[in-house]
Amino acid sequence: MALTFIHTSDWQIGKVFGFVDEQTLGLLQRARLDAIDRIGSLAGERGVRHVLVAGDVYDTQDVTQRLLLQPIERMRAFGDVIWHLLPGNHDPDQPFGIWDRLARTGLPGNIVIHADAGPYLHEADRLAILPAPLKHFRSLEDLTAWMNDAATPEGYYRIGLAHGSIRSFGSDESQAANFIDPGRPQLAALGYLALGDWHGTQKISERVWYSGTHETDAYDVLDGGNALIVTLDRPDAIPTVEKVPTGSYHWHREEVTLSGRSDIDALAQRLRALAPAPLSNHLVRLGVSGTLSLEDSQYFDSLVHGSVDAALAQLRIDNRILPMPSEEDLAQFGPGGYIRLAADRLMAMARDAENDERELAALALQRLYVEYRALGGTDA
Amino acid sequence: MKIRAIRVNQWRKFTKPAGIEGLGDGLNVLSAPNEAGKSTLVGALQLALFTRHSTTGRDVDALLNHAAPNSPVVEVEFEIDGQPYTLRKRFKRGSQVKLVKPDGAELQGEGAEAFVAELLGFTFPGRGTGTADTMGLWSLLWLNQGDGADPISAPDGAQRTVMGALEDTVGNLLGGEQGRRLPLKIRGDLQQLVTESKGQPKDRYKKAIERVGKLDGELGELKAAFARTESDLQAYEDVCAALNEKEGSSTEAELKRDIQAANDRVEELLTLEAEIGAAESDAERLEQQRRDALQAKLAREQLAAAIDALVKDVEAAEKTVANAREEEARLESLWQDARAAQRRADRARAEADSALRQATNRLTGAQRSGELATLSRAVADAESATAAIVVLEARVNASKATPEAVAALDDLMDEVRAAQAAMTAVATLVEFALEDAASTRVTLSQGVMPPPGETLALMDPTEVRIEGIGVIGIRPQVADAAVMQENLQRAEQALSAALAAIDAADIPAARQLLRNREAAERDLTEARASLERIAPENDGGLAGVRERRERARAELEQLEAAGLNLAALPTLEAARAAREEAANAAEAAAHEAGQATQAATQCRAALDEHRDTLRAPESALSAGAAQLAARQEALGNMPAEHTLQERLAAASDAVEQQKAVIRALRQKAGGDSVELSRARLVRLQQSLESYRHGINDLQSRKMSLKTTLMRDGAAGIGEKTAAKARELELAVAERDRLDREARILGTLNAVLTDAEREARDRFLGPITEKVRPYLQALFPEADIQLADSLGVESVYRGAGETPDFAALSMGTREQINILTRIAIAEMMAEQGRPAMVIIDDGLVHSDDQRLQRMFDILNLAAERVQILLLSCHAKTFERAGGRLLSIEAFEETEGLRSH
Repeated sequence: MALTFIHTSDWQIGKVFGFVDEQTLGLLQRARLDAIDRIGSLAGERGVRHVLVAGDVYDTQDVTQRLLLQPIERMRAFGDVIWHLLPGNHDPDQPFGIWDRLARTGLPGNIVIHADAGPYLHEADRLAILPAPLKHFRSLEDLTAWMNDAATPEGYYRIGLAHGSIRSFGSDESQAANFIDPGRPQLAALGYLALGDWHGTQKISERVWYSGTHETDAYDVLDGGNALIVTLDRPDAIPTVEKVPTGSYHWHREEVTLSGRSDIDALAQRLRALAPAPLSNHLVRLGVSGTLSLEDSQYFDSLVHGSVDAALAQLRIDNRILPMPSEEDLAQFGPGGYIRLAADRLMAMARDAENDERELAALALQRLYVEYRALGGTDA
Repeated sequence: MKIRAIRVNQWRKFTKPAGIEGLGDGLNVLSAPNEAGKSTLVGALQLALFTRHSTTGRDVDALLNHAAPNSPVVEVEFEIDGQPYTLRKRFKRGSQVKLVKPDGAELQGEGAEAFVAELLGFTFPGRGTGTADTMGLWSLLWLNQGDGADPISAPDGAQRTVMGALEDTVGNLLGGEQGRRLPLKIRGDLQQLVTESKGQPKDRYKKAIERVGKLDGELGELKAAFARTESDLQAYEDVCAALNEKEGSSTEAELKRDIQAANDRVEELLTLEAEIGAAESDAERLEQQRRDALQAKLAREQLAAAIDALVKDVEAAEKTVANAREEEARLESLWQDARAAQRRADRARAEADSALRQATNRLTGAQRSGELATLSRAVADAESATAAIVVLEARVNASKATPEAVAALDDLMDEVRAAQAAMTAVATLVEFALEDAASTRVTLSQGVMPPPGETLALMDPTEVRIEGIGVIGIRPQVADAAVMQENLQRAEQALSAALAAIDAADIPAARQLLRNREAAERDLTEARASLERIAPENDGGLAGVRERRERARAELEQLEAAGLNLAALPTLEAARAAREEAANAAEAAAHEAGQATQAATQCRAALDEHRDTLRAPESALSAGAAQLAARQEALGNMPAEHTLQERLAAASDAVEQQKAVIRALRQKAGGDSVELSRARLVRLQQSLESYRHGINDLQSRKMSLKTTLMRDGAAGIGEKTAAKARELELAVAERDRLDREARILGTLNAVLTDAEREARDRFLGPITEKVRPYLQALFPEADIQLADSLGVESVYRGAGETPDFAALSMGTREQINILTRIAIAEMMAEQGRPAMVIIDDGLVHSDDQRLQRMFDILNLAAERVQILLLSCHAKTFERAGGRLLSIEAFEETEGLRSH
């Protein structure tokens, strides 16, 4: 009998997004709970009995009771599914911590907390889950090591469940925190090692995968917002892994260089064409650089800031545009008025590479332009 | 703009229609006495134009004539661009406004007001009468009475109007309306963020900064709480581990076993220690006996040794005393010898002294004898000199030929010669050259024939008788001959008398007498000097010499009486030698006697000193002997030496035996002691207690940490921390945004301010250009600098002098103010904008010369702009030129009808 389960991780319920407004924050937090529903529904649709959550169910270990129980209640609703929860580095199993609190609260029968490093056996499905729960924020030992010697009944699917990194980003891997040996399936005869910690979906080997977070939570996440449906035909078979989208928000990071109105128009068009719909589920961090005339700068502000911005869940702009007045811009100030004189001086300051205040001068010039136009300018 | 007529009715003092008409294009002069109503008409003009007809209030009430409080009415005729307008306004009851336009059309009510405001470029106030600000340019151009010397500060409205005109002249330097509003907008935006004075953050910017600080603090507290939880967690795990370790160990059982063993050991040691104590007590007693025996033996030995030493000391003292007594005898003998020598020396000195006295007497006798002879000679010489002095003094006193008398003779002789010379000068001179043979034959009737070669001077008639020849009569014709002769006679008589007075026959005799007298005086001086030398006056003179001679004689007589043989006196030299020899002998004897005395004294002192030192050994000897006897007696009373030695040996043996007993007991204790065992017991009991406390503490700590962790875990600190961090991040972003905004606005404001100032400086140039010719007509080389307010900032008066406007005299200030206004009005007029100047009593501080020049300038300016000049100085302003106006009464027309 084949075994199929869903591999997910890094729900990080309660995560706070500092750079968004209150409304968007609420939406993004809500989305992380809603994604649990989608996973539950997916399990129902595919007839999957087990969902393995590979750590970081919660974003932090000290949460309010309401937040503690919100994901539990979502899982409770899918009574046919057994949810296997693993403490991760964000929510390690510590005395009187989240998992103690949940245990004291009284969990629904379809939720299993894997707080101890010992085999969990599900006889009906001949499933042996070998969890490697984190007891601290960081551990210098490979917590999956015990799996090598873990005895399970003959013919059981040995599935490892762990949270950590298979690569350290330092020079000495032996000193990496929460380091996991990617060769563990071979060493411990695992059919599959379900990993959490990385927020993008990534295959490490045929038997080792990071599912990534179920709902993308940052601009830099590559291929987030998925769950993996893993199927093993027999305990030692190579698993088949299907990536299924579960997230609703799409995060983009884009760098553009603008040099004129056509670039601005193209940018606006590109942003408005982001897929899939709806556009309001897209968050964009836009780095903008280049040199624009004052008029084009104002155009950029009005079009991208003032218009496209409203269509997206969030448009975060790192504006490095250097406003540089064109002859037409300067003509707006009249031929000889003192405002033109001020504009000329600000332009000279902005163009002076030695001037520490050049960016400030450029922005002041842009402001002068905007205010002047607002008061009627020469068009008035 | 040109005013043509101003008429009022029921307006303040005017209860009948009155006003001025016929105002010309150029200069118009209304010169009338005070209270004639000039300023009232100007006020009426201002109200007509700049105050709504419907306005009420105190200012309008003041227009009423109290005698007949009817509605005040004003009618103004003016022209704009050559087109005539008539504006009528009635205030208060039945208020109304009517404007008759050039085409005859009439506007009334607000339409008329708005039209006029638009036409003349001003605004109406929200309420009340027109103000300087709402009047715009007109408040600048119409100079009210008494304001002439005040600095010009054009209200904003006026500035705007003038600036507008200037922009047409020099270009859009100030950027038009936007240019005026933009800096206000930027500054307004900036001042919403920072304070105007110091640029410090304020309002929302300040609050944003404070919020960041507050949130940062709160986040820090949450993080600290979070860290505490982490720490508590670690502590909990440590406590659990420690508790497990303790509870799993056998420490408590081991401690209890050790405590029982320690307790048993204490009991055992207590018994042993009692035995040792008793043995040690015995040992102590025996030791004391041994010490006593030893002490007695040592005491006897020490006493015997002391007696031996004392015997030696006594013997030594006896020897010392014997030696000292021998020395005493020797010293006594020496002293006796010295005493004998002293006495001998004293006798020798007495004999030498006697010989010296005799030698001295002989020397004195010889000396006095010599002195007596000398003094006797001196008395004789002195007596001789005294006699000579008497003779010489008599001789000198007898001589009359004193130097003065002889000198007087010379003078008299000179007078005789002078008289003779005078006669000779006038006398008839007769020379005789006679042959030798004839000399006797020629005689004179008087006188004697002169020797050959000499001339005969004749004063009197004289006959020369020549024997054989006859007589030749000579009759000198000398005037005053008689007087001259008389003078000569008198002189000769005086000379003769003087000679007789000193008993001299002639002058040579007189001189000889003088020389004799001087010789006698020299002798007298010498005789006196000789006497002084022999018998000085200071020493009593001759009497003194005589007295000394008598003293010497008396002294000799005394010496003789004392036994000196005067007859056998030695010579003085011999006497001196004998005395010196005797003196030397006496001195030597005295020296010998002194030495002998000193030697005797020293011997006596040595003897006395020795006797003093002898007393101590004698006393010591006596004491030593007594002590020796006492100790020898004490020794005799002590037990014998061998008896004491036996006692000591027995006691020492007993002590050693007891020590062996104690050592045996201690070996039995094995180096342990009750105190040590008790300390061990206490230590073990405390360890057990500490151990149990430790477990209790750990359990208590575990419970406490558990409570804390359960509580904190449910508090959601992590969640709150994340939320707070987000809040902080947003607050920081907002603060940074406002900071950036403030810096942008600050930069923009600074650049704009500089540019505006620079442009404004250029901007005011046209007005300065206009005013300069007028100014220089008054003050050659003068120039002005205008401020933004269109007021005069400073005035350059040549030679580097640039005083502030306020420092100028009132007359100069009012002149410059008027010129500036005219310049502005001219510029406005050139722009085709309505402008005219009214000067109400504006030249009150000007002197006559300046006033005349101002009249010239006003006439020149009036070619380009209408000027209405009002003054109460009729006579002076008759010379102002222009058109002379007067306030006239009118028939009441419909337009001027009051209610």
